[in-house]
Amino acid sequence: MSHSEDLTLLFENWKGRIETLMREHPLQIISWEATRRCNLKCLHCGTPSEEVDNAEELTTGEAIGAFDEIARDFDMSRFRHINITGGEPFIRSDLLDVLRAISRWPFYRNIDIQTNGVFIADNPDILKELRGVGVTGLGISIDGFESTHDSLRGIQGTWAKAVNAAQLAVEAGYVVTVSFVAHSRNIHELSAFHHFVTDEIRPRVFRVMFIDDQGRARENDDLLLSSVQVREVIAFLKREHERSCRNYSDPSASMVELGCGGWLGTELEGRVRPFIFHCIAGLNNLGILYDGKLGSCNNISRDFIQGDLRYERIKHVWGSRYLPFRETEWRKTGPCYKCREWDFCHGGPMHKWRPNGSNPGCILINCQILRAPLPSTFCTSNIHAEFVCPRTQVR
Amino acid sequence: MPIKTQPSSKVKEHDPACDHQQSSVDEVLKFKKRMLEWPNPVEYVNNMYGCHPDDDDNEYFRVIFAK
Repeated sequence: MSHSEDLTLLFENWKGRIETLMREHPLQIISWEATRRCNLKCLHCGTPSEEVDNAEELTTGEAIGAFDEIARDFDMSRFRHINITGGEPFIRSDLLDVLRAISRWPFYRNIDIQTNGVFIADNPDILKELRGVGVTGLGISIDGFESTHDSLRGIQGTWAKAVNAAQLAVEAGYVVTVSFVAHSRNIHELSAFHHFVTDEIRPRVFRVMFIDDQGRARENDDLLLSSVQVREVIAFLKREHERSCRNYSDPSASMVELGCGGWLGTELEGRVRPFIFHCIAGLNNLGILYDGKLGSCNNISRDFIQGDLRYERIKHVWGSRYLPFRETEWRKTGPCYKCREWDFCHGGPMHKWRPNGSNPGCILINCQILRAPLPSTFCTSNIHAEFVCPRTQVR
Repeated sequence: MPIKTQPSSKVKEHDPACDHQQSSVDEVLKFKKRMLEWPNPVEYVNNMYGCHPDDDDNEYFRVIFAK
């Protein structure tokens, strides 16, 4: 059997397993948006605090209660981990109290926190305490070298703190991911910064994500990348993956990956990051948003909220709703309609989708990675007229 | 009998860099196949959402990227 026949068959089998996951939707990950409050005000933030009513934030008791309810109601045998995001999670002064309470459950002892690193740098002793309450991983955002990073955050000194926090976390034995959001003002330093990170921080993962057209980035759209720039980033990742992936079996090696930017096509998937991508939002990933609303990742439009833990049983919501996440035909429209990659990506990452059925962000199509250039008349604003969203059943 | 040789312009010179490049691509494809064979199709995506590529004692990486 040739290489390509072999791969075709393997992709077919992989696709079947994805369909099983969509059907069975076992709970494996909880993404908890602990707060929307933040001590920084990044120009590219996808989940800014000013868009929401922070008074609605879950109380300590409500947050603990939600995790306890899940622990009692769900089959947790396949559960993997809790991913805590924000805002800035450490802004919550009760974060340790919540973690202390929930980590008494054995399956809640594999927790990671996405942070800007400021609190850790200012309070390095927290690293000892976090270990005791089930935290094993830390994701720290650093978007380039000092002047680039600080100018984006509007506060001098945040870069030094983020780097320091990441170094301390690695030293303390956490699994550390350094996340880099690629945008127009930092991609010129991507390669040099990657070297800096692998030499000076040595995290397990250097993750590159594409800036998304949402949150504050919408107001700062000069930060968005052109198709050419996106292709440059992908080329960088492919090169680095090819150069270093043979060392990935060594847990001390630093890996490079593209975060959930989207499906890259059967040719490139598995060659620019150490996995084949499929969005897991709502499939095995339950999101508890800052105010107790139930969705998935917090960068997904709140129009896709499926329930409210303050008024409903979480298991009931998870078991009986989430149709827009699991029944994806409504997304098969516009550029996805006859896309040959549809069966593999089902429309790509959920956070790219808008409730009106538009998706401004397929990197495969927009960047013409595998395809001929799109015609100049192509326009995404009028090609979604026929979609039907299963949540609203509104045409 | 004289040995026939190809004109020098037609002889493909051996380029060790090309060999290295080819073996690197072969290796990447070998790893990609293993990713596709992994029983849980979103094994790593699960971990990517957090910071735990090393869940299960690094098994995914030991198997996928074994030389």
